[in-house]
Amino acid sequence: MPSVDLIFKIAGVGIAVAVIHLVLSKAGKEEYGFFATLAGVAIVFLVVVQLLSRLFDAVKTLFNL
Amino acid sequence: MTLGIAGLVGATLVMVVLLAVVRQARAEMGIQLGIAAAATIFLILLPQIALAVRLLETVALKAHIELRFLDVVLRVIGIAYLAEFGAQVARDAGEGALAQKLELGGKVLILVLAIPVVNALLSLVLGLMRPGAL
Repeated sequence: MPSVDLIFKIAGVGIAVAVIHLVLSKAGKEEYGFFATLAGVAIVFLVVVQLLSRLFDAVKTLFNL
Repeated sequence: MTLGIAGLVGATLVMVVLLAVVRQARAEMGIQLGIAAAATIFLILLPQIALAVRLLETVALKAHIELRFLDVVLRVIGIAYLAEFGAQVARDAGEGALAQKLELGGKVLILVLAIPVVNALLSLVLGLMRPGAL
């Protein structure tokens, strides 16, 4: 079932990553902040790709592509 | 889960606010959130779209239209939707040039898909123009 929960999840990850980046850069560890951002983007990318595959499957079956 | 129009507008407004917050904190996360939001809205709408497609099919059956032509029309709609989806995401991310390439790709695929229909129309017209056909 499609749900809006996924949106909240992604937004939460985004805000958390922004906070982590801020804290790490304030603590003088810029390189760790970069890796935290990279990890956050990778996690969200996994979720988004799954959602996209569901969307493409739905369109394929609906329009006989 | 079927949302009415009020639910749809509410969900979209929530997505817009979340996007505004996330985009200025992390731009790359904003792009992904935009993709997810667009996909979610379409998945919410999917049952209703399926109903509309079924209606088209029943009308075509009643009008004795060949089903392969309706199939072509549906495929064209699907390709157009997907190409537009990708192009809008690319344009949102600031890649207007890439978006236009994707739209060109969609148009080419639609043209290729329409070849059998054009062929059928041409052979029909040529058959009418043959001497002694009428």
